Amino acid sequence: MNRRDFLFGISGGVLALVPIPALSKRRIALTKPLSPKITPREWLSVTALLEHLLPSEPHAPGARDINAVAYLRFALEDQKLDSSFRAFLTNGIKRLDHLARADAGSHFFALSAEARERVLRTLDKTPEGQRWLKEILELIIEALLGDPVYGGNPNAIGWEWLHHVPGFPQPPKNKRYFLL
Amino acid sequence: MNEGCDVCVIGSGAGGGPPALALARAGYKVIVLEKGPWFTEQDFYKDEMACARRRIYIPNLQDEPHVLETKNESGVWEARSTYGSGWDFWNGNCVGGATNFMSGSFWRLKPIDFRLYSTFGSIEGANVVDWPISYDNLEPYYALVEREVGVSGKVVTHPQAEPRSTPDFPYPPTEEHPITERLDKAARSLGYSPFPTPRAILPFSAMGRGGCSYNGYCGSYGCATGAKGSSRAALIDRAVATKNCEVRPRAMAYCLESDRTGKVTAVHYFDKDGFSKKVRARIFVVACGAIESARLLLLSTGPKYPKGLANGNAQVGRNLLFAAGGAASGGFSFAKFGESLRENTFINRTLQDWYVIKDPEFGPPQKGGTVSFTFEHPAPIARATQLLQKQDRLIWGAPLKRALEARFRGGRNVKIEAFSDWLPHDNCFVTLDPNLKDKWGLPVARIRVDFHPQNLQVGWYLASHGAKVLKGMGAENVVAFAVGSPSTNLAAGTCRFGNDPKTSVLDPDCRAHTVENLFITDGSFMPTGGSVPHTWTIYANAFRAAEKMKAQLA
Repeated sequence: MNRRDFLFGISGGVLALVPIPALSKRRIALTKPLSPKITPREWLSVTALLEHLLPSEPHAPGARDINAVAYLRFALEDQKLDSSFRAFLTNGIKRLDHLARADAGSHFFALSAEARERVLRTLDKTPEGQRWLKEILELIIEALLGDPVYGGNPNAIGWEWLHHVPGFPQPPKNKRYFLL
Repeated sequence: MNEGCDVCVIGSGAGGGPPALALARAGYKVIVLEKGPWFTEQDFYKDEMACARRRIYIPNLQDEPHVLETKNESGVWEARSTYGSGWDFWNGNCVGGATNFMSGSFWRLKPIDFRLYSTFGSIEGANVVDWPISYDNLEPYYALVEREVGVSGKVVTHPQAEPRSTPDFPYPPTEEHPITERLDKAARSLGYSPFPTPRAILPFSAMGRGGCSYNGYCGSYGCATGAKGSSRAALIDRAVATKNCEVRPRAMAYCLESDRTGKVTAVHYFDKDGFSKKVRARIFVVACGAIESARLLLLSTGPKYPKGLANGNAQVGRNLLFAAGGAASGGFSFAKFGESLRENTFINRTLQDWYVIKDPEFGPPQKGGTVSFTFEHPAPIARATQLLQKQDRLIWGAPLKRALEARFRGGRNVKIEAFSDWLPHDNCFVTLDPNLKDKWGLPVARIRVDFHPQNLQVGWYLASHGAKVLKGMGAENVVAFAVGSPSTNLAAGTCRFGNDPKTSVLDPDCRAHTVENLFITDGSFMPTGGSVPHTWTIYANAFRAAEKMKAQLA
């Protein structure tokens, strides 16, 4: 089973078209098409989101140590990922900031750790929100444990942390999957 | 070679490689049409992103979906495109097909598999029949595959061992992990008879191919040394070396043209640029996998076959088979079992004590299956993403990190795969979808899938007995379950062979009853699938059918 396919099949790939109860109550225009471009402020929220989901610790790498933000940028432009799936990711990022402002009165990046957790748990309680968050978590795992040739897992920091011995040969740059 | 040849083989996997090699060696001109690209060992890396996350060795489902029809909770049939469904019936679209990505665990069928009906009688709701050939007819070809493909193993005496014409395997087993001794001891103390799992993996360099590099990345990953006995590495490359075989990659066959007498005259295909081309041949061999072979025949209407080639009796596509069974796993901690647990050698153990279940508590004697032990696949993203959800909540932050540490640093899982017969029945078949088309504008295969309840009962019986061995080995957190869903990587049936032209598509030689120059050599021919993965049997039968083709060409 490919969860990624399952995901956008159910959601139609457009989070914005599916009413989320928490948002509906606050009369946010759910059906309004969202801009495909992520704003600088939204990127700040993405950075805060990824660090919240995989925090950096002295003894264990977190989102910033594994280049998770850059990896997410790469995924959003990856032609091997279905365009409707990438739109689903983008819309979720925008929805996160909408929800943060509606629920907690500020952009997600400006919230305290406790407030961020509350916003994310609110998302986690809705089917669409949970699917979006799970996809973000899976991309974080790709950045943590995928081959360093894709930009995450620098110097195999994720593999070393978890004592994982990779298979070999590892892919060189000219054999990355999108070039095969 | 231009348009004409002696034999045109459509598909280059387990069913296509043997006739390509055997006929090219015999001096016949062979053209192989393969819809996917031609990768070599230099293209295969242990790259989880390529092999598992982005799945680049199969078609994009938006371009090439199937339609899956299943029963909903109210018992109503519902059909939907596999695009976006989570289901995917493609396996390895490239030269060598799915054999590039198999784990290479190889078992023969046993004599009883050829006569299930006469041994156990009919099963209500299932279309079980005997095969038109016996194990003895196929045995020489199982032995041939051991040599040609390169199967490693060790023959040990056990009550379920099938007869062999040679004393042992041509290659010794791949290296075994120390935990195997513990497994043998636990199994024997329960009265079971463990034996080494044969593998289509070379333990050392031979036949111009490299030996195993012991990564543990076999299933779903291409082999970078050539040790794995894929149809590409073991057969197609050697067929090409004869200079009698031309492989045309990215060639999508879409119609077998037939004349008024019913003979196939040409195969039409789209080349990599989308241009329609055709190949004429004396014999055509279809080996696209059970689902796509049935689709190609149904697409190939002609003056004598308004319902599809060789489908005058409406049998093409029926009795689609998968592998039924179950699974189990158990955890072994580094703290208790030591750091040697990390070694990347193989477990390679099989139990077939229940190939026929003779357990009064389970009912009258009936067909059971095979229990195989392996290490859990080492791919880290797959292992990590299993930890992201607990019941209805996602896990993140420090709790996720601690779970990752425990999972990766704490130990290793040993898995059981149980294989049993997927009983053929009326609600498991392939047709053409009336609406959905692929990127070439061709109707896609519509796959109706339902399973017989006995599949689950047997699967559970096997998995729970295997789980006893895991517990006996000292595993923690042992879980076992039966699997009702189809194994999308193991499909067979759809063009049964048999003696009766009314109830089968192929004759006992795997030639279409009604089309004298059409052979089908993938798993489509199987009337029942046996209680093991089909690959070795497909290879063997395809070599057997190649002998019939030679006789016909002569």
